[in-house]
Amino acid sequence: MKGIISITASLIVAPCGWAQELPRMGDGRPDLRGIWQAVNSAAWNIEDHSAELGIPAGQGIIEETQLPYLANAIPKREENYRNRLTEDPEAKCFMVGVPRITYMPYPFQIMQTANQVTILYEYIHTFRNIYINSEHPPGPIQWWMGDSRAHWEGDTFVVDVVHFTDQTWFDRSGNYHSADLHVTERYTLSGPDHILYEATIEDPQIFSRPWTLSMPLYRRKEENAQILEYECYAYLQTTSEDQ
Amino acid sequence: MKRKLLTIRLVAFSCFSMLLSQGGYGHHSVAVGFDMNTEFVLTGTIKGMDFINPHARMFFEVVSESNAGTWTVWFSSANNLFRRGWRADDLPVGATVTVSGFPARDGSLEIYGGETTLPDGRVLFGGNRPGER
Amino acid sequence: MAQPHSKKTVKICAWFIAVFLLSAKVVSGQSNTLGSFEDSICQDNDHAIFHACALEVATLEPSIQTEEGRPDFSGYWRRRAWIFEDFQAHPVTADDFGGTSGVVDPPDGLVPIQPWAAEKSRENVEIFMHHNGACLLSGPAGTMYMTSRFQFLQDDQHLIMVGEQLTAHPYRIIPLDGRPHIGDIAMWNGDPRGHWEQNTLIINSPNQNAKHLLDQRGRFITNEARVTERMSLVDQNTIHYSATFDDPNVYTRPFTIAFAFRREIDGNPEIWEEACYENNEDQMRLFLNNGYKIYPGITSEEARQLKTDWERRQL
Repeated sequence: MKGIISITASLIVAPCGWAQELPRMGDGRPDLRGIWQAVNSAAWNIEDHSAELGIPAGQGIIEETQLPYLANAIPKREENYRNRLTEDPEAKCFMVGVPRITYMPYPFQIMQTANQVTILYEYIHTFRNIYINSEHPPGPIQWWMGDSRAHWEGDTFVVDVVHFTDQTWFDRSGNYHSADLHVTERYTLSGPDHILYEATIEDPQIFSRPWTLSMPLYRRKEENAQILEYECYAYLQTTSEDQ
Repeated sequence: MKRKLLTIRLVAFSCFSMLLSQGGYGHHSVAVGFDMNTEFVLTGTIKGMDFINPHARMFFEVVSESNAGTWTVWFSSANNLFRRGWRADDLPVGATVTVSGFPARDGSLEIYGGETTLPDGRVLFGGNRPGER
Repeated sequence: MAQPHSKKTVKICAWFIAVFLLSAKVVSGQSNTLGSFEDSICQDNDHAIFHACALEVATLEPSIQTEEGRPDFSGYWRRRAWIFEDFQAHPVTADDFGGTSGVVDPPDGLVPIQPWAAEKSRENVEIFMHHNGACLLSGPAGTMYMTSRFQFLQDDQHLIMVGEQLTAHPYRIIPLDGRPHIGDIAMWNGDPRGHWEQNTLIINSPNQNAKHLLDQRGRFITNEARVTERMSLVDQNTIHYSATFDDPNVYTRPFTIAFAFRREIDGNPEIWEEACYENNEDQMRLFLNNGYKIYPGITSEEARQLKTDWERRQL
């Protein structure tokens, strides 16, 4: 399924007359470098959701109509939703994990070499080093952003991410996972200013089958575009100190 | 030459333990939280382990008369321990360990751990070495 | 505070430790957390000597160049200084790894601090916990000498730095394309811009919010400070780094620190995720229970007021 989406993505470019040359690195790979940002309401909820005060309506970014939770995993999801204002790791100013960091409402910058892609996110100076053609270190390891190892499939950058904690959610509404989470990301440059981003989630402890989300990522085109700082927990700590 | 190097290493380890035994863990100066004038050696049974960053932690039950209770031992980052050869399952629940360390200033049952004798007899250093700070 | 060991004991131990470190290799195939380095043409254990040596060789052709003919700083690096403890020369004690003065200008190695600010520094040590203990960032230059493991990635547009080791996973994005600075936005690590002067990269970082201490002796800058950094390759395994602090609110003149970065040659020097704030609540409790507060930073107005108050007290 994933392969079909990527191949389709590359085919769309030519027939629609968007046959612009993709920017490429010296090694011939698509050049993913630049400042990017998702534009959707997935940060609030990755499924279809109606508007609420302060929350825009949104169409789900998942391929399924509903997330395929196991029956015994649903109560925790509901509990998360009830306690989301305090229990959401984002509300605590924690790192938010993968793939949620991609669709947070903050920009990120991609740096790329032949051996490595590093993504630097504005949200609490999170960064991910994605090593190309190398092995995960042996677990058990629990990193908030997991461990990322990648390879190229044609013009698609495929990232395998494991070694997560069970502390992060997929969105602000409480969709969650276990520490056995396995994410496969696909970054396909679909034009000079767009990346098709896909992430397949496998977590047999929580979901009955793998599921996939996808969205375009948009290049920030302002001439002065740059990553600033959002030091969430610094504001939280100094506020509580004042009290 | 090998024996000379071994001797040097043994003395150096002792020096590390001694000099570092009273703190100097750099960035945030452990001395503000732990009493560097006192060194405890505690033996106990492991109740749990957080193999995490920025500090790995072990919880163990000490039964000696003077220090009975459930203690928390603070170590260096899980990343550093991992690079040094520790693994998350090196400290299984129920095993016996001995740790030297410096007690928390506020009287809570916490120590900043250094030399740690694992259940299999290996002695590994759990704190931050100079090159790590 | 801890009682130091006798000087003789410290010296003997220091020798053994030095020999051990030089011969230290991997134990049972695991990564050497202390770092493994090649020799350099400039010794790095005395910062003033290193600085003078590095200045001499800096005019030579850079040993590793990017396609554009610039020095290439890409790779894994370790900083070879413990000046985050004290910018000035300080001995090995129970608390400190010690070292020669990181201050290379003025040549006496002393930080040219105004008297009121020296007093404020001592107060800072008594009142405030170090910002790294609260997982807060260390500022543009502070990031370079508080973090100990780095990877630098470089192309013609950017020098990217990612770090690990007790400083809350910092990164720096340094544009090299001559773009203007941003406007009135204050940030912990400022707004860096790099430009080349022959084989030296000069980095200026205005817009820093002065919420970090410079070292563990409580030294500080205000938000008006100008921080200028310089980087050049001494040889393919050594970076000459310096930072000049120019803050007339606090110091009697600009001063410069300098030290070496050495290329990490260990088998697996990957920079890994080191979460900080996510698992720091209990550590914070230890600090707060002992009465320490988080350092709030200091503005130039506050500094000038404190100076005026101090001068009044001297009359």
